[in-house]
Amino acid sequence: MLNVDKLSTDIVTAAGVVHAVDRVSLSLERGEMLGLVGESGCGKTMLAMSIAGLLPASGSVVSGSIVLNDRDLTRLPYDEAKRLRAQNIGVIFQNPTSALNPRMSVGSQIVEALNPEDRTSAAGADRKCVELLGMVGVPRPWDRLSDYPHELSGGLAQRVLIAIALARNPELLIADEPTTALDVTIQAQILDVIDRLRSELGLGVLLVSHDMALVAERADRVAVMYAGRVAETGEVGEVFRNPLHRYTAGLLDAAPSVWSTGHGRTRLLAIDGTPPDLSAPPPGCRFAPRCKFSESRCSTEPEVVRLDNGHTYACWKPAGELLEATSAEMAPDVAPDHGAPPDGDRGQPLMSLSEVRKEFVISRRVLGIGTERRRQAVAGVSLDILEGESLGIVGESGCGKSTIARLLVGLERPTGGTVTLHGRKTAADGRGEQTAWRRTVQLVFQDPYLSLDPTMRVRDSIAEPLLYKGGRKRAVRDLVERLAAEVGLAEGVTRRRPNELSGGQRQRVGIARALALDPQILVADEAVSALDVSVQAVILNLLKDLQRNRGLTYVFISHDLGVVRYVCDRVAVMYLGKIVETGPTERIFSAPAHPYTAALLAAVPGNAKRATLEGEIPSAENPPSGCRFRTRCRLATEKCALEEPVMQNVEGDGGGAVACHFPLARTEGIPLG
Amino acid sequence: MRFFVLRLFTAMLAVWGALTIVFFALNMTGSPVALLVGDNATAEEIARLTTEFGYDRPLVVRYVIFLRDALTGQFPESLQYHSNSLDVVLERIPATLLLSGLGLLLGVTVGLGVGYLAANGRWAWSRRVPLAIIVCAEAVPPILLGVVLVLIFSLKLGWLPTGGSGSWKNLILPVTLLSVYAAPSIARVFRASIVSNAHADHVRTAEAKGLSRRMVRLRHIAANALIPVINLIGVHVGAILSGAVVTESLFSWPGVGRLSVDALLNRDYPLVLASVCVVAVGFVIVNLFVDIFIAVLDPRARER
Amino acid sequence: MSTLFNKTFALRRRQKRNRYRSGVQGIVGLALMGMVIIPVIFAPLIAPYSPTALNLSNVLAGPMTGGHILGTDQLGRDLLSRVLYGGRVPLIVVTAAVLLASIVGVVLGMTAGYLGGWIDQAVSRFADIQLSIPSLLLALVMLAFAGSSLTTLILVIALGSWPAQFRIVRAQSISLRKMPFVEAAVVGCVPAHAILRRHFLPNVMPMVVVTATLSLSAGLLIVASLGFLGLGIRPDTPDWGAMIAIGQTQLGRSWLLAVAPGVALLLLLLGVQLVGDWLADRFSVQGLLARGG
Repeated sequence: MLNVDKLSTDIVTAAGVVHAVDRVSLSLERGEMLGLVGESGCGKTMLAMSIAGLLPASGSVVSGSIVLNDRDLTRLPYDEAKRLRAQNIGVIFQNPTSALNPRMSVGSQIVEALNPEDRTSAAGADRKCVELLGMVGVPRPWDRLSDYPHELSGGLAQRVLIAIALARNPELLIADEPTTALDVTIQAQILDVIDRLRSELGLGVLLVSHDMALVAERADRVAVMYAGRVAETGEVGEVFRNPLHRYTAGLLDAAPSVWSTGHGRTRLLAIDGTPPDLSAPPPGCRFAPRCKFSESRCSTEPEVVRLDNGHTYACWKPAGELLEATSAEMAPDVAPDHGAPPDGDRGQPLMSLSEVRKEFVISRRVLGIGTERRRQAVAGVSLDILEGESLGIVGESGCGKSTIARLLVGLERPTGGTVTLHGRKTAADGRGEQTAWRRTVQLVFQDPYLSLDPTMRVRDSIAEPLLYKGGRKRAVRDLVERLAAEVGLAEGVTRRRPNELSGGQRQRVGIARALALDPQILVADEAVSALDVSVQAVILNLLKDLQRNRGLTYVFISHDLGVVRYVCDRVAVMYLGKIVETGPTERIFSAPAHPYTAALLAAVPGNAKRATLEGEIPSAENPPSGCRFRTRCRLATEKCALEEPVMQNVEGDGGGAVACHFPLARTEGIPLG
Repeated sequence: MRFFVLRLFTAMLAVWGALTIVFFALNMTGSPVALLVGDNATAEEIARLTTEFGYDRPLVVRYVIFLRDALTGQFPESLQYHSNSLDVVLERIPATLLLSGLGLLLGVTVGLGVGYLAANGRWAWSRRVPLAIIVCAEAVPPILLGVVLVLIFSLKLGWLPTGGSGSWKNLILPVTLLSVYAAPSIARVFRASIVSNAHADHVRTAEAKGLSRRMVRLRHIAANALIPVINLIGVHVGAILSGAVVTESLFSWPGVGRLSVDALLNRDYPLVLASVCVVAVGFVIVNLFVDIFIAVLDPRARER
Repeated sequence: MSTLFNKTFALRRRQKRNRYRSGVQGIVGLALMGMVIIPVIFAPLIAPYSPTALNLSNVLAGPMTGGHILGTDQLGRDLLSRVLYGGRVPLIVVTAAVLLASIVGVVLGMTAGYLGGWIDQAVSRFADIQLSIPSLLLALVMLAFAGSSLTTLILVIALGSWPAQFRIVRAQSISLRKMPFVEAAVVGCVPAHAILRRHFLPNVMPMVVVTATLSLSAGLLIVASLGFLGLGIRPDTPDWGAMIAIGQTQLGRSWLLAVAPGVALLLLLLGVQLVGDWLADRFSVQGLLARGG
C-alpha cells in the first residue's frame, strides 16, 4: 500500500540545512503495523511528517518517492496530493491536549474532518461523530461533543484525535509517539484501540516511538533509524532477538527492562556520545563515532545487507552470532557490583513520613461565592527511608509521588502529619536548623533543560549552594572541579553555559549541584525520564556508582518501572495520594499483592500476560470512599466501598505490606487477563 | 456566574480606586482654592471659598464626602457653566462616544486587516510592506499627523473643514486621527499572534484533516489569534480616550476631552473632577464588557 | 539531483538574508536615535542662534533665507535652533522617568512575583486601578494642580509607565519561581535575596529592556501631547509639543513651523521602535529560557 523509496527531507535552521531524512526506503501493507524507532533527533518524526505532508514550512522533501496505492505523492500536483493524503492518511500526535484547537468544541473539530457526504445535515454529522467516538471507546460520546479540549484528560483527547484521524476511513494511520505523554495504563488502552482498529478496518499503522519494548510488543515489523537513515529493518521478533546493527544492539542493551531479573548485578551497557549534527553528518557509517566496534572501513558507507527472511541492516561489523563474544569483550567495562548490602546494614530509618498529608487549594470562596475546592495530593502517607537503600516510588501521574519528593526536600510543607529526619521533626524547626536538615536532603530534577539557569555558567550553578554555606572562594572552586570530575564532566565543560551542553551533560551538572552539599539522601524526581535511552543508561550507571562510592540513600521517583527495577531495592506503589503496597523490588515485580500493582505491571509493554486496566485515575478532589482503587478494581466488593483497607504484612518472599481487603496470593497472578 | 459576579466586583473596586486616585491626585498637590481664585485674590476671599468648598475640614472627612457625592452624582457646581458639573460632562458624552466609537471601529478594522496581510501575504514583499507600514505608523506622533491632515485636506485641498462639528465632513479627519491611536498596535499584536499560532500543534491536526489552506488560516489560526488582540482592546480604548483629549482640542470637537482641557486651563476644578471621574468609570465599564466578551470567545477564560 | 541542489541553495540564501536583515534593523534604529539625540544634547554647541532671541523684523522667514536653515517662527526666532533645544525637555524627562519606572517596576514586580500572597495582591490591584485611568488624563489632573516643572513631569510620566514594567516582571517572576533551577537554589539553601539577585534579575532583564523602549515611546508621546495642550513646562522653554501647537496656528502661513519639530519627534520614535523590535527579536531568538543544543 505504502512504498517509500530513497526519500530525503531537508530542514532549514539557523545553524544550516539539516538533512533530517536521508535516502530512506520502507514499505507498509494494509493491516500491518510498522514500528519506527530511534533516539530523538534521528529523523523518525520528520520521516513520518514527510509521508503525511505535514512538514514545517522550513522543511521539504528534496528527493525520492512516496508511493501510496500506486500514486507517487511527491510527483502529484499540490492539491491532488493533498486530497489523496486527506482521503487515505490519518495522523495522530504526541501531545493530544495541545493537538486539539482549544477554542473549538470536540464535536465541531470532528465534523470538520468528515467527508462532505457525511456533513449534509447537522444531525447526520453529529451521529457520525458519535459513531466515531464510540469506535475509539469514548464513554458517553453524546455528552462529549460539546466538551472543550481543556476539559478532557490526555487519554480521552488522544481518543478524540484518533476519531478525527479515522473520520474519512483512511487506509494508513501515522501515529507519532502517540502515548509518550500518557501513563502506562492509558498507553495500553490507546494501543489496544489502535490494535482493534487495525484488525477491524484493515488499517496500516506507522507507529513512531522511542520505546523499543512497546514496538516489540505491538508492531509486526520494525525499522530502526539513526541519524536520518534506516540502520536496520525486519520482522519485530527477528530484529529484537537477533539485532545485527550495532546501534540496535546498543539500544537494546541500554534499556533496563521490567522483565529481566538481573537487578543489582549488571551495569547497563551505555552508548557514549550524542547523535551527529545532521547538517554535516560524518562520512561512512554514521554510528561509527559512537560505536565501540568501529574500525577503519566504517569510514566508508556500509552496504545494505538483505537476509532471506527480509531482515536488512547496514553495518560493517554486525552483531548477531558474535553477540556472546562481545559480551566477553566488554567484560572489563562491567564494574563488579557488590549487589545489595546485607540486611544488617539497613533498618535504621534515616527519614520518616508519618501520616503525612498535603492538600492544595484549587479555588477559594471569594465574597461567599463559589465553593472552596481542595485537591488531596498526599492523603496520609507513612513511609520510612532506610539508610543506604534505594527506595522507588511508582504510580500513575497524579498519584502524589512528586509531591512526596517535594515534601522530602522541603519545597512543600505538609498540611498534616510529620516528616522526621534522624528522629527529629523537620517542619517545626527554626530557620537555622531547617537549613541544616535541608542540606542533608537534595533533589535531582526531571527536566535537564529547565534545571539550570541559562544565564549562569555551569560552575557557578554547582558552586552556588557552597557559597551560601560559607565556603571560601578558592576552596569552592576546587571542590566544584572535583565534583565535576566525579560526575564525569570533561574538563572545560564547567566554564560553559547550559545551552552549550547536551541533555546528558546537563543532568550530570544537576547531579553535581545536588552533591555539592554532601547530602545523605538524594531524591531523584523522574531524573532520567526526559533523556534518551542511551543517555539514560549513562546517568543510571553514574547514579549507581555514586551510591556505592558515597554511601548515598536514594529516593527514586519514576513512572518507568524498568528503571525502578534496575535501581531500587525497595518499592512503594502509590495510588491517588496513598501508598497501596510496599516491599522488596523482586517481590513486588514477581508477586504483586495489590491488584493495582499487578495492573500497573500488566500494562507495561512486553508482559506476556498482557492485560489492560480500564478507566482513568479519579479526581483527587473527590476521591472514592473506602479503598480508592475500588472504582477500577475487578475484585472490588461492597466491603471495599465501606471500609478503608489498612496496611498489613505480606507473608514470605521478603515481605512488605499491602493495603487491600483481598490481596493477591502468589499463585493468583494478574486478575485482569 | 461565579466569573461574572467576581468580575463585577473587581470593576466596582476599580471605580472606587480610580475615584480615590483622582481625589488624592488633586488634593495632595496643593489647595485647589488658591488655584481657583487666581493670583490677585484677597486673603478674605480665599478664606471664604475655603469654608464654602469645605477645605478647612480634615482630608479624610472630605474624602468620605467626596465619595458619597460621587456615588449619588452630586458634584460641585461648575465655575464656568454654573450648573452641576456632572450634567455638563454628561451633555458632552454623546459627542465623545461618537468620535471614539468610530475611531475604535476604524482602528480595529484597519489594524486587523493590515495585521492579517502582514502575517499571510503571499509573497515576501506582500508581508513586508504591511509590516513596514505598521512600524512606521506606530512611530508617527498623532499630533504631527493631525497637523499634516489639516494642512493637506483642509488648507491645501480645501476638501474638509479644519474643525468644529455638525456635518459628517467634520468627522472624517478626527476619526482618522483617533484610529491611529489603536490601529498600528492592533495590527502588530494580531500579526505576531497569527505567526506564533501558526506553529501550534492543533494547526497541524487541522492540516492533517485535509482542510483547505484558507480554512486553516481563518478558523484555526486567525480566530485563535484574535484572543490576545481582544485581551488588549481595553488598553486600546484607554489609548483612544487619551487620544480623544488631543484630537478634540485639535479639531475643536465639543466632547469631554476638550471640555476637561478647557476646564483645566480655566481652573474650573469641579468640572475637571467630574470629567475625569466620568471617563474613568466609563473606561472601567468598557473593560468589564471586554472581559465578558473574551469569556464568550475563549472557553478557557471562563474557568478562571 | 539538480532539484535537490536548487532547493537547498534557495533555502540557504533565504536564511542568510534573514539574519542580515535583523541586524540591519538594529543599526538603522540606533543611527536614527543618534541622529536626533546627539544634536539635541549638543544643542548649545551646534545651534546657530539662541532659541529665544526675538527678531520681530524677520518673522516667518522661509527656509534657507538670511542664514536661517529652516527659517524663523512668528516671533522671528530661528526654527532650527528651537527644534534642537526643543528636544531637551522631552529627552531628559522621559529618560529619567523610564529609568525610575523601570527600577520601581522591577523591584515591586520581583518582590510580588516571588513572595505572592497579600503583598502581590495589594500591589497588583493598585497597578490595575491606576491603569483604569487613561494615562494622559491622569497626567493632566496632576499637572494642572501641581504645576508643570521638570520634576513633576518626570513623576507624572514615571507614574504612567511603572505598571507596564511591574506587570511584565511580576508575570515572569511567577513563572521563574516554579522553574526547577530556582527550586534547586531553594533546596540548596540559597537565601531569598541571593536568589532574586542571581537568578531573577538576569532572567527578567531582557524583557525589562524591551519594555523600557516601549515606555520610552509612550512617554515621548505623552510629553509631546502635554506640551501641545499647553500643559508643558513654561511657554518660553522650547518644547516640541508646544512648538507644534503654535505651528498649528500658523499653518496657513508656514507649515514648517509645526512639521519640523514633529518630524524630529518622528525620527526619534522610529529609531526607538526599531531598536526595541531588534532587541525583542534578539532576546527571543536566544530564548529567555530557551532550549538549545
